[in-house]
Amino acid sequence: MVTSLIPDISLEDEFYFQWHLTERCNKACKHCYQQANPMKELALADLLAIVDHMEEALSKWGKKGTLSLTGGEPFIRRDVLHAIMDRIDSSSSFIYYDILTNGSFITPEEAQALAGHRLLRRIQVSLEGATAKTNDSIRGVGSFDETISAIRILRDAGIPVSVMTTVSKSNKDEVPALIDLLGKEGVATFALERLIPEGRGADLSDQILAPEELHDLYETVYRIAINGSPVRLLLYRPLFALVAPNDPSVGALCSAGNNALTIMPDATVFPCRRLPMPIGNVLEDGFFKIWYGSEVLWKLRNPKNLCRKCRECDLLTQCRGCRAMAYFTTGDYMAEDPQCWK
Amino acid sequence: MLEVTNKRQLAMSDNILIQGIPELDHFYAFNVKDGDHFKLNRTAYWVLETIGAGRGFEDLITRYMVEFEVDINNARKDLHEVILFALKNKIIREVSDEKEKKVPGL
Repeated sequence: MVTSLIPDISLEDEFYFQWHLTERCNKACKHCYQQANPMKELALADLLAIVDHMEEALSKWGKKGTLSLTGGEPFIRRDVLHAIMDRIDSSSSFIYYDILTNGSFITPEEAQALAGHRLLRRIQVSLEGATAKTNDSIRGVGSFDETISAIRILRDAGIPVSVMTTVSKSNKDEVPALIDLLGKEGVATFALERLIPEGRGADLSDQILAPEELHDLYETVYRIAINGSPVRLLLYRPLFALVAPNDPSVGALCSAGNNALTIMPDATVFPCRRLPMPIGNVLEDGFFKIWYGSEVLWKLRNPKNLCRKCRECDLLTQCRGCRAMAYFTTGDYMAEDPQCWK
Repeated sequence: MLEVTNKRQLAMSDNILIQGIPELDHFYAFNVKDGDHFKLNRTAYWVLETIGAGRGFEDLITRYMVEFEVDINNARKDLHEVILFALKNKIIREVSDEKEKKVPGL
């Protein structure tokens, strides 16, 4: 009749937190999902209390934590960053964490300090193309050289580097060349994200790929992945499953509502950073109240709430599209992913 | 044997939330304070939802018999199992008056 629940809400054994320590950034990339509006930032004691909340939740749910520390630019909060990393390093609740940064604060000294952290898996930086011209038109003059320099410093310090690219009409054709470049630079992994018309990126809505353009790009990237890519390509994103539905390394369900939460600098919690709908404050509510009680999360969890195209898709268990893309193009986060070509 | 009286009231415990995705046949009870969580079946979810609505025990039995088309003996047996588990795990609590009459068989 009733049994204790070994958590089965989440499909994975991992639970992912994306933690934004600040909204401040020293860059103003044109496609950014943030507006860099001022937001309250927490003192170290409150930040460490958030780690306590994470541990409590992970322990109760029987999950192992993975985490991205990011911003804004997270090294702007260097005053607390290493202390948080030390705290997580000493925890048995986490498997690893990454830092997502623009790379501009990476020096040889900083890289040495980072290399000493036990659970630091990778540092992620962003490049928007294989050339300075393409990259700097989005991220600002000089940022291409700055990022390549950061990659080399981190690599030389023995820290694996991942690169992320936000794909749009302006850079899609450079992706194969960028993969070649990253291979030569000794980058460990490469991932694509889609341009979402939110934050500053809302001004670039004409740059969003049409469904067939995205399809062509994903096919191209998948072919590179299975034909000896010089860098490991991370293809676990919604819609990638359409390219190779029988390849388990390709595609992934949106994690919003299933096995992830985003924490903002003031402790506000979102289902996903790209779906900026406040569902609580971790310091005031704790994760249990948010995870169990949020109507938004419950709506996301139920695939029956999806639009008909997604709901009746034969890849429902592998994809479901990007809810943020649906939200920022239609106003309904359960609408169909407008870039789906199926 | 669990002693529950006819007029005794059951109520959801503090910090308990019940949630369901009926289309997927997924039902849960959660303690939002300590994080305890329990998977329920549709029947248990219905019972807890009814208790949460403030129904008295007599009313609960009557409604259960109608909802699940069972006689009073089966209703008591089923409810006994659910309520015992829910009390044991502090999902619900009794708000009782000891002078009240006991429900036969419970």
